[in-house]
Amino acid sequence: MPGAGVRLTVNAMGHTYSAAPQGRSLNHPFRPALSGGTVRFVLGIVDVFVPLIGDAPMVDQVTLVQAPLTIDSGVAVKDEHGGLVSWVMLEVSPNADGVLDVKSKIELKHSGDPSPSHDIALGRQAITQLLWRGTQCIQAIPIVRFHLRYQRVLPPPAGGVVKHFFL
Amino acid sequence: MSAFPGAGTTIVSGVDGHAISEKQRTPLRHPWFTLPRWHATRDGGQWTATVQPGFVNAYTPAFRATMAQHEALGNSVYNYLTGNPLFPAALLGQSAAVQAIAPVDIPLYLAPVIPLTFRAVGFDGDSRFPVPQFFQNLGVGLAPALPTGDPSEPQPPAAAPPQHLRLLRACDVWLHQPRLGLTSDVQLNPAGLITGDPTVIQTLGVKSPAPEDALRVLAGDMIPDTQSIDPLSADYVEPTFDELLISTVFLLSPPGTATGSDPDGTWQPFVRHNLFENLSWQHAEFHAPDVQITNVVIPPLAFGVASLVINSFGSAINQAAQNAANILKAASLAGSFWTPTGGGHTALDPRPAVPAQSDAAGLNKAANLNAIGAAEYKAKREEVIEPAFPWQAIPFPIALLTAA
Repeated sequence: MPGAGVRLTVNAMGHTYSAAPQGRSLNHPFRPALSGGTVRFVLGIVDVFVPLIGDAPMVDQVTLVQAPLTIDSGVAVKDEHGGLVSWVMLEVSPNADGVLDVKSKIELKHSGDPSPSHDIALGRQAITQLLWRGTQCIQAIPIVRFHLRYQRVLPPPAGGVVKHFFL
Repeated sequence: MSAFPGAGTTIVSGVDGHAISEKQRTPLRHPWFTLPRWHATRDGGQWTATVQPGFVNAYTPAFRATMAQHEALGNSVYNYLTGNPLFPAALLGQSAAVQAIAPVDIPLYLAPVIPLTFRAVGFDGDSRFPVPQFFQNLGVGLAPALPTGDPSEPQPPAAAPPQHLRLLRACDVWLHQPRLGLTSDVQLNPAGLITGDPTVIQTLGVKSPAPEDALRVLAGDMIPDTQSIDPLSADYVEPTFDELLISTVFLLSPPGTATGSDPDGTWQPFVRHNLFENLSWQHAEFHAPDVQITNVVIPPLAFGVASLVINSFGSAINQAAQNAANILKAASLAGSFWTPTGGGHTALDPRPAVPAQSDAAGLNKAANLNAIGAAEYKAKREEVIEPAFPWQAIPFPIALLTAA
């Protein structure tokens, strides 16, 4: 007899008992998936905007098609442990008031440099780390697992650097 | 006709026949998920753990050990991504003895096995470490109270262990983030103190972390930096790192284990996580603190050193100490961790944060209900060692939004 949560299927081959797949992964925002030289993402939102990959939204909200981000092994760099790594970076360009608007560029880009930006017009946040074996990307590890909000902080008059926070 | 177990099912056989049931759900492995394992060896064994890669900004930390320790744990000192050794190339031509003691960092994405060293908690442990209610419910005894009174007097005999006592061991796994540390050198003018016109010169500086220090995961007893600060010290040095607890691994003994026993493979592991999400980290910038002290001369910063020449304090040494302490606090270089969550950071019932004092007279219904709710919430939390999903994240420190 099938127990709780178990489905019984009867056909010419006999009886099959199945249960709903038990997910052990969390389908979170910005979740990456590798597919043949590209990486696609679950929809992630920055403030109220959908980041672009190239000219297409990362996930088309009508067709739900995930835009592929082409990744190139030539971009990968050696980390301090000798492994080849690269990152998918979120880059945003706030307006003069330091906030994102419809004209702001909000993009996902493949990069070998995950460092934050201190440029007043460019904020950067690492979204995913990519591990490479030679020319093949073998793993994409998510760094951001939530939708994001963006905030720019200008330096005090006494000096300092512009900070871009993703909170 | 025959029956087959399909996807997501398992067959359990018993004396009454076979039962097909849902497979147990595998726990979701979040960043920093710590998985303890008994590492059996020919000579015995050791408790170890692996930690799911978590990130601080764009980097995942490493576990550092000597090459000999890594090899004893079964850790490959070769990077499977490249096939190259993880140790410096300069070590390649060295003798085996030199190579064995060389420190090697293995990043968490290569899943290094981390050895755990445990402290005793509970009946045969240090009474300073509290025993979580979860383990008390499972039979762990509390540490006997320390004898009080004159130590030269005869002390009462040590309490006999209760029957079926279970012992508890604990090991912290934590994150170590190097950073600059503040230094402070305070010079007092003794002559001024005598004449009632003291002069205090406080020189602030910056100390760099050791060059070999790196973003790492450590295991053992995490001792938070709670040193009492003497603000008038001539050689105060802030730690050159920020640290954050990832998890605590507990080992629970079988009932009736002799006190003082070392844990082996028969002990049951439990993990209480403190971190569930990747982190952002921002270091503090060094700047002359903006404190309201009269007669303070702040010369321009030179070579990363700020001398605050504090002249002619109106009162005596205690005011100097207070001002020096304020300056240390204002200029601290401690960094901040947070999880980028889009704003929220917790899905837990916020009720315990509300003051919940029951009304002694029993007339304030709202307060009484709140106290009951808070007590139920506390009891429910103590029944488990690990909170259920969704987990708590570290909130963004909004002080960072105000320009320093």
